[in-house]
Amino acid sequence: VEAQLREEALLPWAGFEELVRAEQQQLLRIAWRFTQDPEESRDLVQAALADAYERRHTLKDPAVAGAWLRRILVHRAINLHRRRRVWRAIEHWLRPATQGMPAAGDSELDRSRQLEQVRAVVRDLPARQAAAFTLRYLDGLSIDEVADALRIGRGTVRVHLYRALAKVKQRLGWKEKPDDV
Amino acid sequence: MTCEEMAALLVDDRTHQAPDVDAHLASCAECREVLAADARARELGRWDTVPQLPAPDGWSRLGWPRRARFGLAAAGVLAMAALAAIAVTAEVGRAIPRSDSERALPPPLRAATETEPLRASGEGPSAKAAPSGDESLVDDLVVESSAYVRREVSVRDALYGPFGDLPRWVSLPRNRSLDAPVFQKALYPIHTDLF
Repeated sequence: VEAQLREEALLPWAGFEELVRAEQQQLLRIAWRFTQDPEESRDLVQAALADAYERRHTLKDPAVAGAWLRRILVHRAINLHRRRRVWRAIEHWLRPATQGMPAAGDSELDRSRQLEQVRAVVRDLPARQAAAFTLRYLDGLSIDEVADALRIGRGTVRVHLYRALAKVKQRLGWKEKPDDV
Repeated sequence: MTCEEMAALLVDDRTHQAPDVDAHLASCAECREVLAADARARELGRWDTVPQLPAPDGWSRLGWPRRARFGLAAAGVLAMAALAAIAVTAEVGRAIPRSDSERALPPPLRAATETEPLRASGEGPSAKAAPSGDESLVDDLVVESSAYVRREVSVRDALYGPFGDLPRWVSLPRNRSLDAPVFQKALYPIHTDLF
């Protein structure tokens, strides 16, 4: 079996280009959610595609190739987030922030400012919490899709989301509005 | 169920409509805040639009500047490591004594018990000329005493030659037999002008 797998791994993947063409926009969108930079998004997707090509023998069902590619991409993005977080922690330590985040209103400008603030908080979250928050709230995936992308259970996704949400709420000073519930 | 467990259910569409969740929400302001934050984050996410990111024609051409930078950095690190390795090797090579094959050792002396060559080479102390009696006995005694008290016997002794440089490091302690009263008494006449 091992020899067969090795042999298969060395064979060119005929459907790879087709799969990439079909999935690349979605992959680029997810990568952008994590990086907010076009060049870095492309780099991230390319690295994920290279990983996928090397591990093509692990794809058992071609029907779920899209979700499989997404898992590989999210794994890459989590690793990138971890590395960046270390550098950000060093940067914070060297240059601690002196001012808090200003409260934002409901206008479009305020919303984009709020989004920027949320992204800044998410950048400081632990990698899995950040990934769960990004995929769930910013990319709009369902809990099941987030669980599949992160290769964890629904319950674990819920806990990551709750903790991420609590930190965002605390850092941005979100309070319950009377008409929310 | 703890507040955290309950609040975790709130972020899930399937579970936050359960009756026990509603009961908890009615009594827990913090969980209501989490629910409100969940709604606010979802709404905010709808505003988070992704710009048009055109996919490249060929993915393999992407990222070459980064790979080139990485390659340059890796080459620099390797060069530094090679220089450091050369410096360390040179330093260690200087510290370790070279073997016989690399360096010409001084001509070895014969074994310490063979006193004749010492006398022949003039290395041993010369005996005072004895005015009378058996000169050769006194002479032998002087040369042999000198051989006994030689320092670094292992370095100078040809018998240790086949064992390489190791005896150089484990040379015998200084022989103090000359300090013994018996020897002092025997050698006293030699160092004085009694003869």
